[in-house]
Amino acid sequence: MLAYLARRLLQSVAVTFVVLSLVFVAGRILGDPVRLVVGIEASEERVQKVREQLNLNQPLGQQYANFIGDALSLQFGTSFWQKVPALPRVLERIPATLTLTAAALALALPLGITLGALSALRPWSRIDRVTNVISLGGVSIVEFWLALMLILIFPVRLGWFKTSGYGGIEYFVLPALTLCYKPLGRIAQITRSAMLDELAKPYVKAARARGLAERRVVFVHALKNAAVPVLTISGDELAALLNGAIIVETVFGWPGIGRLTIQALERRDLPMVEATVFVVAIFIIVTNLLVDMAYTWLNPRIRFSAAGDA
Amino acid sequence: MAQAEALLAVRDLRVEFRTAAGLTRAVNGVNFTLERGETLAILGESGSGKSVSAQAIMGIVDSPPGRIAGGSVRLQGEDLLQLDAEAMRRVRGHRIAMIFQDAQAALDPAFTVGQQISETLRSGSPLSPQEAGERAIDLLERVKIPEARRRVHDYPHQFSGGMAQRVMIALALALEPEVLIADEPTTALDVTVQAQVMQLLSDLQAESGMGLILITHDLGVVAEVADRVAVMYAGKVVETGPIAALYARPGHPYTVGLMDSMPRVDRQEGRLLAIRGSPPNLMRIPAGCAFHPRCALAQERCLQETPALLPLPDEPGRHSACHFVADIPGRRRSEVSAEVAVGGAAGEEPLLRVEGLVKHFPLRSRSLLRRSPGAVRAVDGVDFELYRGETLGLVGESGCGKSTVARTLLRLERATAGRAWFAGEDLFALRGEALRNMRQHIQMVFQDPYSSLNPRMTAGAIVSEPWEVHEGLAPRGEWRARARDLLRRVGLDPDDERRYPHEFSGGQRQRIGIARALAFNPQLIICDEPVSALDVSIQAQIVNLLQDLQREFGIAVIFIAHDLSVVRHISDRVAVMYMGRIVETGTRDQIYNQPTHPYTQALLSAVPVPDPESEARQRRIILEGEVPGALDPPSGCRFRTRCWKAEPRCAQEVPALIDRFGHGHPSACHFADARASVPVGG
Repeated sequence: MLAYLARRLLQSVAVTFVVLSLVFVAGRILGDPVRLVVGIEASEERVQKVREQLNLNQPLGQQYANFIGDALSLQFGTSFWQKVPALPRVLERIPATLTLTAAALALALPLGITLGALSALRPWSRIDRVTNVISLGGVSIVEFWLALMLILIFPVRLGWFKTSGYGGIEYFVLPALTLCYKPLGRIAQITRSAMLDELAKPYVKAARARGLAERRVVFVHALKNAAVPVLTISGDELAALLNGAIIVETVFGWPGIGRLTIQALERRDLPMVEATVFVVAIFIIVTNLLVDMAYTWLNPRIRFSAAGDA
Repeated sequence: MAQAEALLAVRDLRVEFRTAAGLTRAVNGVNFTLERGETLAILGESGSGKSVSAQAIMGIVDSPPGRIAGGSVRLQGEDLLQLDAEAMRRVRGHRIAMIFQDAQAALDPAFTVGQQISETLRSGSPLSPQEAGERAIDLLERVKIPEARRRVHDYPHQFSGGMAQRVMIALALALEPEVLIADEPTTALDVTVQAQVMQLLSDLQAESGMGLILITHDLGVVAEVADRVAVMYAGKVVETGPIAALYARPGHPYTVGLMDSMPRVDRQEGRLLAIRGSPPNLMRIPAGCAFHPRCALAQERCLQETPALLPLPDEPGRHSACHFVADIPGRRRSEVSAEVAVGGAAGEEPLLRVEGLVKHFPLRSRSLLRRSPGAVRAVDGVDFELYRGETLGLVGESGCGKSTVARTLLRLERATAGRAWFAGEDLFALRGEALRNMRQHIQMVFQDPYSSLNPRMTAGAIVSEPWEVHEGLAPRGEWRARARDLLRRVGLDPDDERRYPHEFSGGQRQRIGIARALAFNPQLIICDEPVSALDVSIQAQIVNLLQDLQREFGIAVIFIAHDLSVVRHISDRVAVMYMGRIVETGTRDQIYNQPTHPYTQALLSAVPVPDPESEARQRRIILEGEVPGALDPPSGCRFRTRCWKAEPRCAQEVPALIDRFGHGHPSACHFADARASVPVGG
C-alpha cells in the first residue's frame, strides 16, 4: 500500500518535470518575449539591455537549467506586466477559483450520482428520461453560452444576483451554477451506466437473496462498486473545471486563476503564464493522486495487487 | 391434506419474461414439495427453468422483464407469492436461503467476507458489531475455513473457488433458514473440491434439519446426495420420485435419455445413446408434450395433448408426465466394452513424441530495477507419446497445465524447455513456411463454441477458410461441394452453409468447429474441453461424432478434459496431470481399473456416480485442502501436501514417472500401489 503510494508520488514528480519543460518550450516558440516587454518601437539597445536583465541572452540550455532550478525553488521571476513576483500573485488568486470549483463539484457530485442512480433503478421511466435530457444538455451546452443565458434570465430580466464581480453570495451563484452543469451531466451519465452494470451482477441478486433491504443492496453494495468509474470521471471533471473556470471567470469577472491566465496570455507575460501553468499542473497532479488513493479504498483488488510487489 | 404439512409446497408455478423478442415462458406449471430434513434434487438442462423456479420461490426474479404469472409457493402453509415486498424480504435469508453457482461473483468484491456476514446477521437480529463479528468467525469455522479469525478480514477475491463457496454457505446459514436452495453449487468447482463441498452441505443439513433443494444438471451429484428428484424439461416437472426407484426404473423418456447420454466413470460402456435434437426454444415450446420432437415413443396424441403429472400406479411417491408411461423401456445401454486401440506395437513410430516439456510464465516485475519475482510453473516436465489413430485423454483439475500443453504443441506459446517431434520433425524448431505447413496437420477444437467462430462468416465460409489459407488443400472449384459434404458429415444440414453462427445452438456450433478442423485433413486434433460447455444430451452427440470421425479418418486425438467420465468413454490411453506434471499414464483400463497413484485414486473416487446403489461412495477418498499455488510448488512430490501416504521421503525426492510394475503403466509415486484397493471401477 505504502509502496504503491510512493510509486505514484514518484510518477507525479516526473509528470511535473515534463509539464515544466513543456511550459519552457512553449514560452520560447511563441515569439521573442523581450519585444513583448519593451514594445515594437524600442531601440535595439534597450532590447539588449532588457534581454540581459531577464537573462534571456544566455544559451537555451542555460536558460532551461535556470528555469528548472528557479521553478524547483518556486521562483518564476517578476511579472513583465505587473512588475511584481509572479508566483505570489498567482497564489493570491487561488482561493477565489477554489471556492468556485469546490462549489461546482459539491453541487455536481451528489446531484449527478443521485440522478444517475435513480435512473438506473428505473430504466426508461420518467425520472430516467428527465436525467437523460439534463445530462445531454450538460455535455453539449458550452459554458459561455450558458453563462450568457443565465445572465440574461436572472440579473437582466428578474433582477436576481449580480452579472459580474466578486463579493457576497449574489456574485457567486451564477458562476457556480454555470460551472457545475457540465460535470453534473457527465457524472449522471456515468453513474447511470455503471449502476446498470453493477445491478445486473450476481452479487446483487445474492445480496437480495440474503434478505438485505433494497436500500442497502442498491446504495451500499451496488453504489460502492459503481463508484470506481464515477470517481475516475470526477477526477477528470475536476481538471476540466479549471478549464471551464477560464471562461466562466472571464464572463463573470471573477478574480480567479482562470481570468489571470487569460490576462497573462494576452500580455505575453511569460513568468506569469509559467507560474499559472505550474500551479494548475500541481493542482491536477494532486487531484489524481487523491483519486488513486480513493481507488484503493473502493476496490480492494487494486490495493492487494499493489501490495503484492512491495 | 398432506400438502399443507409440507415444509415447502410449490403448485403450478408459472414465470414469464416479456422481452422485445417475444414472451418467454421459462417456468410453465411447476409442482413439487419439500419436507423437513429432506434433500430434493431438481434436475434439468440449461433452459429447463430450474434456476428461474428457485428465484421465483425467493422472490428475486428480475422484474421487469420477469413476472410470476401464476401458482403458489407455500412455506409451512403460508403463500409467499401473496406477501408484500417487506414481508417477503424477511423470508429471504431468514427462512429460505440460497447459494449460487459462481460464489466469487455472488460475493460483493468491495467488502470483506466478515463485513458481509455481519451485515446479514444484523439484518436479522439486533446484534452489536462486535457480537456479529464473533458470530461471523464461528460461521466460517462451521464451514471449515482454516484460520477463520484471520480470513474474516479478507476480501472475496482472496478466496479460491471452493473456499468462496464455503463463505457463501456460511452466509446462507447465518440466519438459520428452514430451507436452503443450492443452485448448481459445485458446477464451477474441481471434482476433488466438489466432493468436499457436497460433504459439507450434507453434514450441515443433517446437523440443522433444514430442507435442501439442490438444483443441478449432474446425475451423479443427484445420486450422491438426494432423497428425491424432480426432473425438469421446458419449464415443467416431467417426473418426480424417490431417488433409488427413479434411477432403477426411470418413468419418463427424457429421464431415460439423460441417463443413456451420460458416460460413467465406474463402467466401460458402448456407444452413448444420445437424445436426438436439442432442447426447445422457450418462445416456441412445442404443443402437447414439449419433449415429443425428441422422443422415440411419441405418437399423435403427444402432439395434441399435454400430459399431466400423474401418480404412477403401484409406485408410492412417484409421478410422471407421459402418456405412454407403461411403454417406457429401461435403460438401453449395453455394457460391452469398446475395443481399445493402443498403438506402439511392433516398433511403430509415434506420431507425436514430447520430451521434458516445460512452460513457465514469468511474472512481470513492476519495477525496472527489481528482478522478476518468479514464474508460474504451468507445465514442468511433461513426456508422452501419441500414435496414429489413437486418443490420448489428458485429465486433471483446473490449473494443472493441460491446456498449456496443448497451446505449446500448437506453437501458440513458446516452450520454455523440452522438445517435441511430430511425424519425425522437430516441432519447436519449425519456422516460417515449414511452421505454416505443419499447422495444417495439427488442428484444435475449442471449449467455447460461441467465441471460437467468427460471427460475421457463414458456416460455409468458416469451413472453407482453411482451403483459402493453405493453397493446394482443395481446388477452388470444389470448395462449395466439399464444405457441404463436411457439414453433412458432422451431422448438419448442407444447406446450413448459408447461416451465421448465432443461428445455431451450442452443440451445432461445436459441430461447425469440428468440421473446420477436419477441413485441414489433419493428422492430429487437439480437443480442449470440447464438450464441457454443452448440456448432457448434446455432449453425448458430440462425443459420438468425434469417435465416429476419428474411426473414419484415422486421426489421432488429444482429448483434454476435467470430466473423468467422458475421458474414460473416449480415450484409448490416459495421462493424469497434477501441477504441471504427469503423475500417471497408461491404457484407459489400467488407469480406471487399477490406478496406482494416490492422486488418480482420489480423483476417480471423487467423481459422483449416477447410481444411488453404488457402494463406492461408502469408501470414498476425500482429499484435504486445495491445489497449492503454482508459483511456489511443494518440494519433492507436488501432491504430498494433500496425500494420505506422504512420508518425509516425498518432500525430498521427486518421484520419477516410471513403470514400477512392468505393465507399461508408469506412475510417479514412491508408494505406488498396484492393487485395485480403491473404490473405483466395476
